[in-house]
Amino acid sequence: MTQILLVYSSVHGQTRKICEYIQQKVQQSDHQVTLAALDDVTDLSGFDKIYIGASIRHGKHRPALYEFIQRHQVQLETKPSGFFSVSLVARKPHKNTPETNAYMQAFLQQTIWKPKLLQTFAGNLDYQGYGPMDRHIIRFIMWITKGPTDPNTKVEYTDWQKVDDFAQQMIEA
Amino acid sequence: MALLPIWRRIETKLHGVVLVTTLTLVCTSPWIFMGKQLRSNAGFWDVFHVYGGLFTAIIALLFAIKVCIKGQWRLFFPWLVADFSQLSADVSGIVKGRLPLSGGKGLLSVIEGIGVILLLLVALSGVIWYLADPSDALMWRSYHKLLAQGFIGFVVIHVLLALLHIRDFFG
Repeated sequence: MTQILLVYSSVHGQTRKICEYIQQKVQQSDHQVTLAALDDVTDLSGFDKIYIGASIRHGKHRPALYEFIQRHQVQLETKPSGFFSVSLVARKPHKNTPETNAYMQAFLQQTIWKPKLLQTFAGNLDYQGYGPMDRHIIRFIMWITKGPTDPNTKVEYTDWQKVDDFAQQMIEA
Repeated sequence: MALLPIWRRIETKLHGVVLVTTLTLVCTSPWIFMGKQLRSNAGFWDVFHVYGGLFTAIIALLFAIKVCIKGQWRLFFPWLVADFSQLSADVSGIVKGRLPLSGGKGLLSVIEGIGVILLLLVALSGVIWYLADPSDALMWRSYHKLLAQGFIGFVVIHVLLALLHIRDFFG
């Protein structure tokens, strides 16, 4: 049975939700998926494949993500591995691929790891689920960019078919 | 290890708390009237600045720990290990008219690291002003004011750079 480690860096929970969905999908085949928060992972040696999902906070991936990659660079480069980024920007059709998503392009420029499997997923907009500071910052950005600003807005932009496709690619890798 | 869940709960709030406390102290500082020491008949804003400042110094220290732990200091202070790779790429990009990227150990992270150093220096000079012998207090007061002005300059730059994130939302 193939052992897969799926690491998540989640701020408001959508990236973790996507990872749990992937775990459930992949485990339907002959694979064991271990789900772990970025801060809890210390040893990658017991896994055959490693994947990381990370969300965007205040316009960038968490600094801990880059440190994690640097720390485990050898394992990430020698085993089948992949990465996906979750952001609200990726809800836009012309910003929802690794090639067109600015955060993914920034990530690829700033890390030494070049994952073979890459994807971007749109996140979740839930103003009531954010703290006051994040809520006002995101509403301000949405106001400027003509997005939804109603404080009760709760929209899940994640394309689950796209997540299914990524899970299938993980199995085949 | 028992403190880990508590730390994880507060670490995500530290940036916001630092923002609110420092801006409050800066905005109310014109109303304070303090020289060598806190007078016995000190006004509300004097007392607020001293004890609010001491509280902020603790928060500043926790915030500095947050950005440095697990090797993250390499992202905010790459110059400490003479790593200028992303910094020089960002600077040469600016020369060619490209805006720097957020994250990693590039220009924006280095500026954020300088902000953390300034914050700690403002806090430290304030604490020393509070503890110093009256004969040295005015000197530490002047250092504290100078460093606070530097920190205000950083905040302005930090806000302007934060607004760069908005470009990612446009088509």
